Amino acid sequence: MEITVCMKQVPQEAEIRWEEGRWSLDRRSVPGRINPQDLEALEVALQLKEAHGGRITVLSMGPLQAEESLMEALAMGAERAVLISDPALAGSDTLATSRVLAAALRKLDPTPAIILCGSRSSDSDTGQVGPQVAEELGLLYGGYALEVEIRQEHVYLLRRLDRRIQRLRMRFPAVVGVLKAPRRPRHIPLGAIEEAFERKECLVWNLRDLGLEPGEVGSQGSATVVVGLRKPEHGRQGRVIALPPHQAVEAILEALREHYAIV
Amino acid sequence: MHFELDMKHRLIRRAVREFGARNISCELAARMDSTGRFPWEVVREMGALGYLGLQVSRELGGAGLDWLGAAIVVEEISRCSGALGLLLAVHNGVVLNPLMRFGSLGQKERFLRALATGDAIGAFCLTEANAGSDASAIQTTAIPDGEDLLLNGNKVFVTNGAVASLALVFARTSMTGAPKETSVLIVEANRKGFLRGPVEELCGMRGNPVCSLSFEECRLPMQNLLGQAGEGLRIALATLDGGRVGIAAQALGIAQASMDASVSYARERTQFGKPIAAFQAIQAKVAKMAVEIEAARLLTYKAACLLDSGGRASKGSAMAKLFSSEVAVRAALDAVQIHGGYGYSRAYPVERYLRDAKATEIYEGTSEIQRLVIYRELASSLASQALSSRS
Repeated sequence: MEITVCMKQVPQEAEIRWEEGRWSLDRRSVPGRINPQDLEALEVALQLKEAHGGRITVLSMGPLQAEESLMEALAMGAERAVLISDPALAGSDTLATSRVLAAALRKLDPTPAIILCGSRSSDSDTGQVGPQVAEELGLLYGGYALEVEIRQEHVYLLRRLDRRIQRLRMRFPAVVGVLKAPRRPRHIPLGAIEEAFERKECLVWNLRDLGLEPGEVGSQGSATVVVGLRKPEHGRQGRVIALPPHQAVEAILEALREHYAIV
Repeated sequence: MHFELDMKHRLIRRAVREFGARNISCELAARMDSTGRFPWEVVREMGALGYLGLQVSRELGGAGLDWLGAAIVVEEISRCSGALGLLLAVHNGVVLNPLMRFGSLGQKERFLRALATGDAIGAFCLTEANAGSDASAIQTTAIPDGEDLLLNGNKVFVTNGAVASLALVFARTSMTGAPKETSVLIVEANRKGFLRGPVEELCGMRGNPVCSLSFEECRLPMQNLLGQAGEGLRIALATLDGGRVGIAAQALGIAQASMDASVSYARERTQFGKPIAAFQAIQAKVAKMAVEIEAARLLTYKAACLLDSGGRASKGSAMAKLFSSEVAVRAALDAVQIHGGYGYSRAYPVERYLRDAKATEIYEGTSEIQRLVIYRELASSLASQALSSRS
């Protein structure tokens, strides 16, 4: 089975910096890592491959330094890596990004039967790219998947929704957004890193390779523009509730509801 | 001249750091230190991931890393646990490396595969009660007896001793007729006459089961001779150049851990109404650690790169080992000072870092011996320069 994992290189949390005078993250000068939920998606892909056979392609859009994350995915066990990198892509919003990823997924040969990605990225946290890629490709999307199973012609998802766990059956081909689950991404054997650098490579595609025009991507091809950004103010305030226990519990619950900590 | 690690080595570092963060908690390292329990579960997992065959080829079950990669692995593991870093540094640096370099094809097949996958742990036995820095003074003997050799003697302070299933043993032999002939023997622990002493009560590195090993009429076939008869000291010297890079990397990891702990404590601990990190006295200590660690890292990585390029590395590796181990002791001492009373308590890890760091100034050549090696190398290059300028 052909499996593709879409992944994003995100800045390591401790190193986040904002670009001078712009409302976006500085991704060039800080060390990156694979978005944690995408790493979960790769682990799911590796388990599916172990159970059913097949081949894993990892796909990413980003600056050239994202190659490091793709090499990491190759060392973890993916067979093929493609990085879409082009200066014209800078400033792409989630819609433009999805358009680019969809174009790359169309170009992949053979076509993947299942496309996995994290449900959200740890940096911009929109949760939009997975569903938009599915929409662009006219495929089904199942997000918030804790578990992904394949049986015969269907993919089964265990999805964590607001107040329930749903089991969902979908047809192939499908796009699946994965959540962090008790499963942990595997450790990379040191020999596999050596092997990845000896025997595997990361292909780099640009806009022309995808048949896209500069106007369709980047800030020009984006539907949304971030025009401002600031840190929310977190005020901390202690409050002493001096009531008998059962009344205190009610008062605490009320306070939590008031702040939407519980609903 | 490049001062940045390339992508492959960055990934090696990241993979090991992730492994350490998930599998070698500060609590585990502290427990190993206080109880002396050997963490087989972690060691087995390290074996499965190639940590016990760092530089052995992938065909023989190893990871196939270069010296730089191996140094990074030892550094990162030592950052979590000096004792586990020591296990790796000795097993890989002075047991597997000489086996790879001087072992016959048969010996590699027989011994290397099990060692590289962590199914067997190796020990290196040079030091004796009356021979350490002076390696030529060893008294252990291997005397021919029919087709075999009979090994007799006592080795002390054997790292990994209580868990090793194979040891490289330096012994006096008399097969070539040369005076003070020394040879290296591969001794499996299941041989009759292979005896282990009790685990030593050491100041630091307490998670590593260091003990003495005795050999009483221990019978070995000639095939267990590593390299040629009489090659012992040559093997020892060649091995120690690499081994010292491992210890330098280990010291570096302990120094880094000392700084990490200091920075995080100094930001938390409040005195006079502000975190102590706001005081210049503390800042100066941390800045000094940072500079020294950076310099130690450059020396260590440079020595590893020298070995990778096949160059002569005696001076470079001695400098790296000398400097890094002394930096580790200073960094750990400052870390204890920054932590104040808590630094002197077992509740925080820095007193362990200090006890562990001290060992790196002693084993695989004391600091005094490193200085001798460095001067000897300097003197010989000065002599050859003088010769070439005269001719």
